[in-house]
Amino acid sequence: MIEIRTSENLPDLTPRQEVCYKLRVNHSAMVALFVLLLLITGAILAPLIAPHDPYEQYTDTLLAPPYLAADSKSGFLLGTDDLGRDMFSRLLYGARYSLFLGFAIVVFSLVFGVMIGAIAGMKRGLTETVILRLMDIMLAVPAILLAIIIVAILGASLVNAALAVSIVLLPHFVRITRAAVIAEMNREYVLASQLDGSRGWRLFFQTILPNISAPLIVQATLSFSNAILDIAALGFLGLGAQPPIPEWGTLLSSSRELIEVAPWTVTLPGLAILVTVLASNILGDGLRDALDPKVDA
Amino acid sequence: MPQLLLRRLLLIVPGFLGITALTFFLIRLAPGDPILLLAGEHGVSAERYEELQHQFGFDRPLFIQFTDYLWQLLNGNLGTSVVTQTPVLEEFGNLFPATLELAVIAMIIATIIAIPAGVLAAVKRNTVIDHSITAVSLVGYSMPIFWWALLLILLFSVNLGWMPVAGRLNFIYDIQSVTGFMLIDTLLAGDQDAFFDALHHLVLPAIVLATIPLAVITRMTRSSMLEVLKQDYIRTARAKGLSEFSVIFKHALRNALIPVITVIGLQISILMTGAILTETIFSWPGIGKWILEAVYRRDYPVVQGGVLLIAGLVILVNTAVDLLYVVINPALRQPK
Repeated sequence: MIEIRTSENLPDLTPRQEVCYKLRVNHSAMVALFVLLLLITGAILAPLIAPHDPYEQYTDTLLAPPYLAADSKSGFLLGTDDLGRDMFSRLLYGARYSLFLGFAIVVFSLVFGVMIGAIAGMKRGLTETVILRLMDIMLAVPAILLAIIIVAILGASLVNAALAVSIVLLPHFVRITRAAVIAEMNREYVLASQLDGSRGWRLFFQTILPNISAPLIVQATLSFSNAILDIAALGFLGLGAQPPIPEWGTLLSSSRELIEVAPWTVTLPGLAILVTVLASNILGDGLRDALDPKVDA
Repeated sequence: MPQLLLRRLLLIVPGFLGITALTFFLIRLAPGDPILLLAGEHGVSAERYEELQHQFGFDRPLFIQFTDYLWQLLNGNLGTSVVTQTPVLEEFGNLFPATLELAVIAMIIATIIAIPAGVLAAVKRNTVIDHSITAVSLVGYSMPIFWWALLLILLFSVNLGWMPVAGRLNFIYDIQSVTGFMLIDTLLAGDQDAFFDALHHLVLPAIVLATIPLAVITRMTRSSMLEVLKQDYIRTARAKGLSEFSVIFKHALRNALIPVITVIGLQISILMTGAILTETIFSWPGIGKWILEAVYRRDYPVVQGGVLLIAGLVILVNTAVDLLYVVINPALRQPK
């Protein structure tokens, strides 16, 4: 049984050190962090690591099974697809799309969500009501459905799918920011800053934002996993990245018909999605436990 | 209480209006002229184009078109499918039972497994049992369900041959649709073989659709139980000498279920999202597959009407859950 010490027995740590300490002793979160860093490194170094070009078709090795299988071909660690392309290289390049897009989507929704939420929380009144109702409406349409409609209107492409998912994830950041801002506005340190002449965006970014970052960091981590899942789902439905781009969801959808003859072309891309999403969810849970002073697991 | 009910019900109105406006204007943003799209490859003469524009009202200001659309909605007219020429509401009505049947079975599977699993994890906190349940539910929560569906098909349909790959019923059975629920219709027809065949078709899609709610409800039950087990009244119940069974199921679970029931209700949005993916993979003839196909075919009246109906459903269920929360939570019922 792991005993995680609460803040009372750690008197001489700064809040940041305390969070790092709590995260470090959480083994599953550290493993998740390691896996994510490994994936990110693999994605960045893909041109150096990948044994083959992800688009090159080796016509004499169609549907070669992965390494260790009875009739595997040497040089193709995870086998090849129906056009003889190396699965390992394709998955590695696919990580670039999934991870980079997940990151870009979260940054987009975080930035705009925080700004809209801050306006709602600081202005109050009619502005707040309009913003909140709009977010409620967006939340009433199931996420994938809203994304599908946006993509249908903009046209199916990777960029449009990313834009659609960013819009879908936006309301969560808006609501969290608004609630946190309202709670902080009544605190004395905010009042002190206001008396000092700080107003508007300056008050928000310099004084309030650093104090409400904890729930936003947690939400960003969890949104990262949602973003990857949604992008993959759109790719799978043919509304995201278009073949031959090796985005993981697109890989899955193009190998659907091969499920009987070459199951590895289906299992591997899905496994990649699952591992990435699982790692960021575990890290998100760990961050929440570390950042929330109420939790003493 | 009646005041709260009224306020909550009144909030539905701007919600519906907002959704209507959102879908209406979003669809109008779509590229491509709807009439040229309708005409297809044959094209259309200039006069006929004008005539059609007038007939559909596209030559009038956008705002007038919108108020017109609202008026039509109030009269129960959600438009007609461009492809099949059937009213949208009628198509929805024909397909919705299939989705509802799948969703209900999925929720039953999820709840039956999740609540005991969550209770067990909380009671056996920090043991191997707890860690296993928590880990499995985390995996379920992170699962790309379209991939999960393919894996289940690979194992149970392709390799073992136990389950059918697609559809609701084998074509050798001819069952008259009475309720639209295949399990009930086959029983009404008195055809036992057809009933088991329908059940057979339901298993895999229902498991896939149940996966995410199962994980969410398990996690919620566990954390809610942990919270309740810390309370003084649980210590009192134990001190009274009640059996552990009675403490857990009569005293703790009843109180822990309040947030869990809310979470179960809120799964409707997840179910609808899941329905789009699940129905597409299993060729399940429900509204998820219907709306996705409408998007592919650019059948805008169906997309617009379908989104409106689904979002309306989500709003209604969420409101009902909010109200239910007040009804089952005595602490919220006291007059202020």
